[in-house]
Amino acid sequence: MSTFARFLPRLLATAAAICLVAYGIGYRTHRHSPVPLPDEPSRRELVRILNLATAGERPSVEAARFPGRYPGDLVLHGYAKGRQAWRCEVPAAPLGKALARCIAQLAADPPPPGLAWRVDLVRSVLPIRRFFGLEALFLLPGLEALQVSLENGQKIVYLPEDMFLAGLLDRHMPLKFVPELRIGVDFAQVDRHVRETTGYEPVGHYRLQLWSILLDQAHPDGYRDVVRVHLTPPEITRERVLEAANAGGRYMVNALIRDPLERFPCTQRACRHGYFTAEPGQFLYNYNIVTGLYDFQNRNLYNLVRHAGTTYSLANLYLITRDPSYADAASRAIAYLVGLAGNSCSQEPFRCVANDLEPCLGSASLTLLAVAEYRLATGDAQYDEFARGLAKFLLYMQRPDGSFRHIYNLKTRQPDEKQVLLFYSGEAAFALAKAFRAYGERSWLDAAVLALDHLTGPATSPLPFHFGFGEEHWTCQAAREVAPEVMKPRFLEFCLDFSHFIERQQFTKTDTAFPDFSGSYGFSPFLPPHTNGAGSRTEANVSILELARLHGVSAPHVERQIRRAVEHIITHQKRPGNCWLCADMARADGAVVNTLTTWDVRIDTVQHVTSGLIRASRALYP
Amino acid sequence: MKIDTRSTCFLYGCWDLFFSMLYLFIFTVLMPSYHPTSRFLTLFFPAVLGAGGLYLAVQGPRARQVGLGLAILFLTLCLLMLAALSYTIGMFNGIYGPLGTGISVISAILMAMTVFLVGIWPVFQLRAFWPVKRES
Repeated sequence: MSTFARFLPRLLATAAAICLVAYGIGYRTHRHSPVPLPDEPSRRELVRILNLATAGERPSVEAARFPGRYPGDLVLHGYAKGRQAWRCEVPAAPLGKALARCIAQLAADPPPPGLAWRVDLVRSVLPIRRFFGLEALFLLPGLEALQVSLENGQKIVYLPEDMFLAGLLDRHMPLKFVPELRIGVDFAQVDRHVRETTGYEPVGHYRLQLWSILLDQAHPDGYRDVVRVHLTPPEITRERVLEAANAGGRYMVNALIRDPLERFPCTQRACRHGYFTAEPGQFLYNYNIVTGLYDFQNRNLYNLVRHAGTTYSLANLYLITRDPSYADAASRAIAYLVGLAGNSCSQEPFRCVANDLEPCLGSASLTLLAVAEYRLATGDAQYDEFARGLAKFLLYMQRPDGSFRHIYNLKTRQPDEKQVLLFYSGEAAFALAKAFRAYGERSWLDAAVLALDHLTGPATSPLPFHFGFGEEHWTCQAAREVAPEVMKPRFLEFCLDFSHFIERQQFTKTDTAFPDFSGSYGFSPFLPPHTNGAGSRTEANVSILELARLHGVSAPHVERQIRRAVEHIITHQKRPGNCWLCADMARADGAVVNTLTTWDVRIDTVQHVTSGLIRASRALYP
Repeated sequence: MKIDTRSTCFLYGCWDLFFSMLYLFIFTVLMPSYHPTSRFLTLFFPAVLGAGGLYLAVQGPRARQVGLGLAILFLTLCLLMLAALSYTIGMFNGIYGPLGTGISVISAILMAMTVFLVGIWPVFQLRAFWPVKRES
């Protein structure tokens, strides 16, 4: 054997060994080795003492009962109206001494009544070192605390709540030319915040692993575990699903503007003296539940497609629950669209909805969907002519092969043949099918089926769609809506495949270190998932499940997905008792945040998750 | 000067020039660096490879040793890159625990691309210029 032939295996073995050692060093130096928690009886005793003390009593503390020495602080913090009202932060070495000091502080500085009490115990501390910009991803957002050491030797601890309140999560901009993409911690922003609040220069950053609980005297254990500033819900039952759907519905009803003089707080430049007013019939579009501020909106900025989608959701809620407040809100929201339509397409042989010179297929489709659902739910015929005008627009925009033009130009009075926008074709198919259901026009059903033939046929011919799917959640709702009149096996096959495809993107409890991602859809643990997807895909999956049942086909993978997504939505829905960071619980009740790390609530997120919940309640929790 | 186009030196010189051009194309057109240090490194090593490849192609004195040196240099670079990737994967695995299928697949693709782009041709070049004891 030549010397090279002997050398080659050694080279490969060396390469493998180097890679393994490098992996091991990376893993070992970044993995927490947490100090064990006190045993179960001691934990119960710790919680019992804290519950008594925060209730205003003076429990005796036997410090020797808690000898454990922890690398950081024991933090007891109380919240009212989304703001921290009381805090005790003492080194937990040993834990008993820290507990005694916090109890003494409670006695010396009594907190206001009615606070939500949180406890954090630091179990492990690891440094965060610069690593080519990747350090922005080194802190588990909302789970770990960030400790900053200062030039004067002091240290500051940002608990997850502190980071939410100061807006320090998901602020890093990895690509300067995509300002919308923000992930991880922006350490420059953190350092600025530290300088402004302390006057000292930061010299080091550390990430802290916590044991996080919420004190809860009503709970058998006296506390509930906290993950990313939310609680894990108890068992999911039909009642809980219905309650959550109704809370979402009430959020949408409350978000409907009724008084043109009512002022809503906001901070953008367009706001006058920190407030804005808006037209009655609009929904408050975007609300930050931590700051309690809304995004500025007016007719030109307002998203009509999402307005119409929200209106549909309210009509759908009324259809299922018969709560008159939903029908009333849906009617007012439709009236707003009718008012807008009076100014649009007035010279055309059809009706459309637009706040500019380019009415789109999406806003007309979802408006028709909302009106048709409202008609089905209430029998109210006052918008029938409007619906027929919108259906004419959809038919006008459809090509002979079933595809749609997506934009109509009011100046040239011609449809734009080139622009293709996400979702619109599926929305149009669903709207035509729903309109058939409400008004019985057979030609609308035929148009919906033609659209579905195209969406599930030629539209899938580009190569990427041989291996994946686009956003087909409206398409599959349309496929369900045309049944039982039209039961094409291809529609079912397409939708079952779509459901298989999206299940591969759905997080389960063991996919990542974040059990609270379970049920949402995403790509990696680095990018906190958008809750909107759990809602819209549940709507689609419920339709797919119903369609499969009509065909006599069992679809356990669809049921699995729906159950996971429902649990995810309910976990993250803000309700009294689970949102101690909500600035105004009355406004936030029923809200579902857009992402788990920035607590903005867009109206269509609530719309999709609420429709998903109410429809799942019928399909899976009978 | 007469160049033997059938010689090992010429053949591997051409390959080195090809890979040097490929790396330069990647780092000047597809993925240029805007950081001074990484810009220097991403241009310096391809330039060394290009110069070495040219030297091999024209069969300058001690060309075989130059070819051997280039192969060892790029194998070492490949190992360093694989080690850095392994360290990064280990680091994120340590922080996040399981990374999910998507990130695992991307990591595997990155490692495979590194081996394909920087790790295979130096092995062949190393074998071609490996010192052989001549029997007298």
